[in-house]
Amino acid sequence: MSTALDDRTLAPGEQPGAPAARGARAAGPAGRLPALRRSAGRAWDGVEAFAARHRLAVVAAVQLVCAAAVLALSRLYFVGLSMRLDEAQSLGQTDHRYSEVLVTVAQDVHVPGYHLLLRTWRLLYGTDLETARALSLLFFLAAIPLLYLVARKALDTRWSLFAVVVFSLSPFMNWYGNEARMYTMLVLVTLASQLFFLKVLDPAATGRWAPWAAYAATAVVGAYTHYFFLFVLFAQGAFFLASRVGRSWRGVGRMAATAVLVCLALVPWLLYFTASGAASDTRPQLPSPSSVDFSNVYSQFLFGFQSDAANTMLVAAWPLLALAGLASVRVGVRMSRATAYLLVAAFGPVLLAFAVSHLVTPFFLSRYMIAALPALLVVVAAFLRMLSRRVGVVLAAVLLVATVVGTGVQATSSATPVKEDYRGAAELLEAKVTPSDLVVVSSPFTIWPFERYYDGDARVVTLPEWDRRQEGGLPAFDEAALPAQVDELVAGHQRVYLLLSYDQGYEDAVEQYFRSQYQQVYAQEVSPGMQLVGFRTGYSQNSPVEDQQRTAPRR
Amino acid sequence: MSQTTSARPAGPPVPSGQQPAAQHVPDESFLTPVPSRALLVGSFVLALAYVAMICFAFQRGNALLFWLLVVTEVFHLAQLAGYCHTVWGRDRARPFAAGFAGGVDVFITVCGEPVEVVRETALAAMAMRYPGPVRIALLNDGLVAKKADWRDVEVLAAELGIECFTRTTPGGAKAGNINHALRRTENPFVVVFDADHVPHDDFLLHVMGYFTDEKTGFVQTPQYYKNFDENRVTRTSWQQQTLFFGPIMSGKSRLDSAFLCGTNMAIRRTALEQVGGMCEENIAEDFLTSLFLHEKGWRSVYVPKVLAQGLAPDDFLNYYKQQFRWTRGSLEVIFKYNPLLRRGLTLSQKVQYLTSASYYLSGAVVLAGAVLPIIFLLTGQTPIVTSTMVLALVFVPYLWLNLAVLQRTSNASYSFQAIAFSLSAWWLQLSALAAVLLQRKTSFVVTSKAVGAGGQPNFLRLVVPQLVYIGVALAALAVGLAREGVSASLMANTAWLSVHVAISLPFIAAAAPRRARPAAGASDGAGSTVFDLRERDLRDQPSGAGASAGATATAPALAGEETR
Repeated sequence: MSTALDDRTLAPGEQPGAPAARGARAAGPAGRLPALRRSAGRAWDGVEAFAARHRLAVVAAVQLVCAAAVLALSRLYFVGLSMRLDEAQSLGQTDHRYSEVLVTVAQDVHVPGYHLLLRTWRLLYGTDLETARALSLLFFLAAIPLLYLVARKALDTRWSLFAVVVFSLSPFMNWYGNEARMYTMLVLVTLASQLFFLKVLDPAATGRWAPWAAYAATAVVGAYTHYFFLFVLFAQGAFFLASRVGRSWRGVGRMAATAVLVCLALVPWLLYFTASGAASDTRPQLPSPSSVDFSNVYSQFLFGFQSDAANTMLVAAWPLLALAGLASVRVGVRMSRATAYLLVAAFGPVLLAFAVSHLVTPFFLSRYMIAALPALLVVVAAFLRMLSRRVGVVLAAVLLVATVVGTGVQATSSATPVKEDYRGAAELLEAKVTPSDLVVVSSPFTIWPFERYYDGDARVVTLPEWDRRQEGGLPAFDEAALPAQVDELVAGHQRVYLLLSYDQGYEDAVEQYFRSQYQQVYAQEVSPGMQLVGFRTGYSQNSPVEDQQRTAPRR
Repeated sequence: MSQTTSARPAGPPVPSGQQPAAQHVPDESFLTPVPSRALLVGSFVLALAYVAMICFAFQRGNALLFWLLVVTEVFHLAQLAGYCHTVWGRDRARPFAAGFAGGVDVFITVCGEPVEVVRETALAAMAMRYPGPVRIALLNDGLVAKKADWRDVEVLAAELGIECFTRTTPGGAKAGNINHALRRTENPFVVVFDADHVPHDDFLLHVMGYFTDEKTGFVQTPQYYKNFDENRVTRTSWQQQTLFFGPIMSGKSRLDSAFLCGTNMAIRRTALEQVGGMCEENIAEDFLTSLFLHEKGWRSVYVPKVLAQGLAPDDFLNYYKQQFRWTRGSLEVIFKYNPLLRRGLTLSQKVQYLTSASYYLSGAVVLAGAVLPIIFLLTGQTPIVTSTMVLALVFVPYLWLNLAVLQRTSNASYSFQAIAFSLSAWWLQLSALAAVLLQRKTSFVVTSKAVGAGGQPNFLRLVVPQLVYIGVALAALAVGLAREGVSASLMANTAWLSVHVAISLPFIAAAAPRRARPAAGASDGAGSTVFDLRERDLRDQPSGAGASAGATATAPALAGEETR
């Protein structure tokens, strides 16, 4: 390692090394800094030499430490968080027999791979929320070595390990690594698919069957994990074809065969899904994505779910991407094929989803895009590696710190926008309500997580009113019918508590109607996007309403 | 284009004991550009979409700022279109006669360079192999440029047994020097080397065969800086050269628009005589002479092979002077000899000359872009009113793709430093523009040059405009913060300011004083230099004094900003 002292003139007979200290002492404080740098340089050289001699051990050790960090974060922060709506759906759907799992998932907007696994997992290890979340954590942990293998296709060991560290500490990954949903499974399958894709992309392996078979298998599994995985496959197909233009067309047939296989594998499910109504009544209403939503995907990938104010500031710094682009122009630096693919994998599927959300139907949520996250991190690591060593190391440190801070703030801040504290809401209400009160939950489907916690004295209903025992999906909101519905619901109740979350476009109308008709006696933001508002609706001293809960809380 | 003819020594016999120095083996990867039409089309389409969005998709803000923005973006689009046009394909095959043996006069232009530098070039020229007659001459301008060692060049010529033409009447700078020699020689072809550009012994064998085509007027070869790794300035100069002598000149050659670059070039005498010799009216005499030659229907060839090795400007002042000279010369071409109005040029040639020359207008464009965030911070005025993320969604891919095009077409020979130098030259370019418009001759007078190996005096005075920009940016940031508080707009504009400041830092660092490398028996202060950095009116001075290198190449700030 070159230091300033390396250039000094040695006295006759003087040996490099020891005299440096003498020189440093003689030079006083100004001379000690180069001496320190030299010592630090030697220490670092020693570390590097050790790492080079024991590469496998170092790689394994770093991954084990990362896995331990993931587990520690889970135990410290995430596993104790309240159940979210999506988790309640996962649990609700996998509370039943396998055949019913298929029925309920077909009525939802997902494919059944994860749910079948979760059903099995819960049968084996327990039905509680923590056990369900542990499956996601397992997928996350399994993804760590796979990320390393994918990163190694584009990076050296050091930067691959850096990508692994950032991945393991990623706020986004840690959030979904502790949520009973299919997102970390999607990441795991995507990484496996990318690993095999990079193998078949290699001209030396294009002719071999084994990587193609593995690639096809992961493609089918991925297609049954999440619909978004199809965009991953589209991006791979496009990249494969583009990489063959003007060169050999070898492998194109196998790629086409893989595409056919995936289509054939999906046909039974799609037929079943269509026959079950194509989730036309149960799918949530999502708005068309804006440019802000698009950029939020990447800011959330890197910095996690931060408060709107913090996220706005982060995203507004986008002109620095121009500087990043300029800084990446370096002599002799060419993008490898693997890096080029990962660049496509980081942005292509998200762009496709953005386009389809505008052209077909909106379904643009950052968690659906999680398959693009590992590729993004590897691309970021590849970018940092392209910079001059000093700048690259400094920016890598900045990214690492930002990742850790992002995860910490996301875990501990009450302003984290994705926190859904239905447990907190239930506890608040339990302490507050009497049998003469009424709890109104809107949107209707949020009753799923709420009822998992609620054990209060007041009756719970949904608005619009939803009788889940009857066939059919969610009731539509009819603003004209709202007064009649509300009058019927509140009749005989002293207080009504509105629990508003997951706005489906009518939350404001509901709240405004109550405000206009009744005296507000209570208001509390339980968590971002979740409000508990109390109204006084009755003044008589009559006995409480009859004990006829239309939606009985589960114990 | 194989070269199979065995050639005899070209010039007079090399004196015994005086052999040319061994040549550095250059990395020629920059000479094999990789055109990617898909990337070029994608880049242009995105650029078009971006400009269209700016023009039509958003609510307009301040009218003046809006049109300023539109003009800058249209300029960038035009430059990108020109670049894509240039690098769209590889050069075509040309007739080449391996045994071509037309007589050659080799001119080595000298104007005060150290005699040892001249000796090395002369010896290398004498060692060139060629089957035809070759006559080597030193074109000594030291007398008219009032160089103290002008007689040493004559002594050197006598020692080596070659000719020396020493001018006694000034005028026309380097072009005048060459024309002076043209009148005293008669071989049908002329080869020109700057005093510090040392030819390889196979230079003539690779170049002269193209004159087998009677319409070939001149052949140009790359300038290679063998001292490219000496310091930040030489490195960046070289990186800028690679783009020009890589994809750009190859593309220009395909379009019959390759132009003379002052050195390492061969010209047909009859062609040169037809246009009245090298043009003496312009500081970029080679550029304009090329235009005149093309206008007369002569063809040009660019040979993408390092056949001579020269020296890059080794300090910031020399770099600055070189850039100023090229800028001024190019801008004069636009305003005095507008290629669009010249008869005899093909459409491609008109486009190519205009694109190359107009690159130097980018100083105004860069400055306009740089002041927009300052104006917002100071006044709250913006050119367009939109969600900044919509702009980002188009701009970022557009820029990144542009940079990918640059890297791909230059075969990864370009760098951020080179871009930063190009973008930071806005004051230089504006000064040159003003000088052209006001018809004021300017230069930078140097009173001393010795500073010690590896050292550099303080040239920060040359980057005062960039330093002022940073100061104004900081003040504007304070004003914006006071007015807006911490907002998304403030953050976005602060980020833009950061981009502009970061781009100017390498330029400023290159101008900063640098200590000489410690040498035995030399103190740090030895050889320190005093420079007079004032611009001076040169109407009463010999023009081009000290300017031995002709107009050659700088590099585009980004792909699409083509230059010379």
